Amino acid sequence: MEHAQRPPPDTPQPAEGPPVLIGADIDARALVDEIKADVQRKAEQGLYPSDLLIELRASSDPVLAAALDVRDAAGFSTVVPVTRPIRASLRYVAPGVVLFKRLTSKGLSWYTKWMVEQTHHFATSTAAATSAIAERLAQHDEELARSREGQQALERRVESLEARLADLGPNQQAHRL
Amino acid sequence: MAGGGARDFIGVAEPAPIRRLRIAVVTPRYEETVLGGAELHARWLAQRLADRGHDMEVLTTCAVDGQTWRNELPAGSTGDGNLLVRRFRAEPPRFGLRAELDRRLRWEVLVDLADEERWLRAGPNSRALEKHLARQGHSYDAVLALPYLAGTTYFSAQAVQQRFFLIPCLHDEPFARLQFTGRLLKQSRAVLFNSDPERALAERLFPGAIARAHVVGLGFDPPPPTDAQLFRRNYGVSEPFILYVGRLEPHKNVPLLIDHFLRYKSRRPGDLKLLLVGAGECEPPPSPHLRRIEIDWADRDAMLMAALLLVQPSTNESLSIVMMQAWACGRPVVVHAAGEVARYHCEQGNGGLWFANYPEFEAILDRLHHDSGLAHGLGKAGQTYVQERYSWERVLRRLEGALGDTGVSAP
Repeated sequence: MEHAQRPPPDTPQPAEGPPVLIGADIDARALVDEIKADVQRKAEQGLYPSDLLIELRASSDPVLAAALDVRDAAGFSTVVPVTRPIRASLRYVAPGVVLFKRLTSKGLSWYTKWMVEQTHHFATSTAAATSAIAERLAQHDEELARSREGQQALERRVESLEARLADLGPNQQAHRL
Repeated sequence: MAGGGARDFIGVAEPAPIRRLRIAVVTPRYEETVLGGAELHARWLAQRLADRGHDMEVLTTCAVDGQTWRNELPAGSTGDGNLLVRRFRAEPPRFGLRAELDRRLRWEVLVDLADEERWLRAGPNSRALEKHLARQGHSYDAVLALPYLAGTTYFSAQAVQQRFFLIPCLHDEPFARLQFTGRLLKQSRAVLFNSDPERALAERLFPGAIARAHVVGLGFDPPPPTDAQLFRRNYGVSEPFILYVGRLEPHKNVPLLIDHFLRYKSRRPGDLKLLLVGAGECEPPPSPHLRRIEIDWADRDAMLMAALLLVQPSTNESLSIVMMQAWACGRPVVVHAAGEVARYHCEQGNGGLWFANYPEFEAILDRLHHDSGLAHGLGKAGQTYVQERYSWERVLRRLEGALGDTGVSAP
């Protein structure tokens, strides 16, 4: 396989200049650029599954990334984890503390379950809403980009028409008009 | 900004060695079993400076466990090779107060310097150490303290302002933006950074605060002759593997690494495994593709040499010791693109590649797994980088140059 080669060194570095790059014949930056281009090409060809494509889009779209974070954080559980205390000073009372914690968490779970369900419903709705907003924003961005392209094409067309009009003499202009 | 004279990157002249100095290194913990990055940094640096002929003392606490900060070792002076270790009793930690302030600091609730100092006092610190510095500080030519986040560092700076040199081990986190960090940077006679991005971060966060800045770093020896196959036999690892070494913690991006690797395996069935080495709260899910192992640290180099590559997903590093060790062993590294320091080293040394998302992670692994020439080439470039920039000789000369640049001289 051909690797990205470092370009030949140009002028010598000045004594207080930037640090000199090390590495005989490999250019890590060029390699990463190659990899990024390869990933981009595969994405455009639809060679990745949809979840990867979304993730790839999210890496350059902060709104989508935030929406995905909200989605990932939208799951709640009524189970309260009970871990063994790790402090050595609690060594002798740890079993009692764990038992107390277990009983407390089980007792509280019955009461908190309904609140957690409401929170869960709220969170999933928020995740859905933010996803929809992100989707809508992406659509707007695409439409905006298309509109800009159309506008630029029109501006170029107007410029070219004005140039052609200027080339024509006044008589011809009057005749054309 | 002053400083920069001690940078010795290739082609730049280094200052001549300076005279034998009396130097104290302040670190919250000092013990062979302590493997935290800053503590390793302090221990190795102190030992190397002592080997070089400087009159070295380590000022530390009696604590060993970074969770409890219990005074486990006796207070007093002991020898460690040719350096003197003075241990002082750590103040009893106040976990409740620290957790409360910690929450406020993390959520960026406005706190003043007094609150920040209470937070530092509630963590690792030692008033006895400070008293020693207040009484005896004048007898040292330089007091090097690390990391910036330890109370031992902050309060030492107040005790010996004129002789204080900070080795911050700074990375971008909420604490880095607090007032005490700026005060520490300002009070230091010179700040000794591990890398250029770390220095840039400090200058970005506290413009104009640093009087003198030098990039010094930490040194690494070439590994002794090691048999990678011996590691495979001793630990029962027959398959090719990629490696993570470090704390298994969310802030080190370990969950992301596990997620990416399991997705990779779902799309690329094969015998490649991920070996996770280290302690921490991230328990990997049960999977035939993941293996968490504990190793004897004497086998570290053999393990690195046996690995296809090392992954450093953390975006919170000021140097990344393990990355340098992997390069010293000639292995390539793969880092997260958002990790400024790790990425900087990869760009400078051409010893590794970086990913910003899963598809890039997949593409990089595909290339390095199936192109041993490329993996080898990246590893060799990394090895050269470590030898050229982070050999002990280079690092110590940079440090001595930085001290000399500030006018430190033997009494």
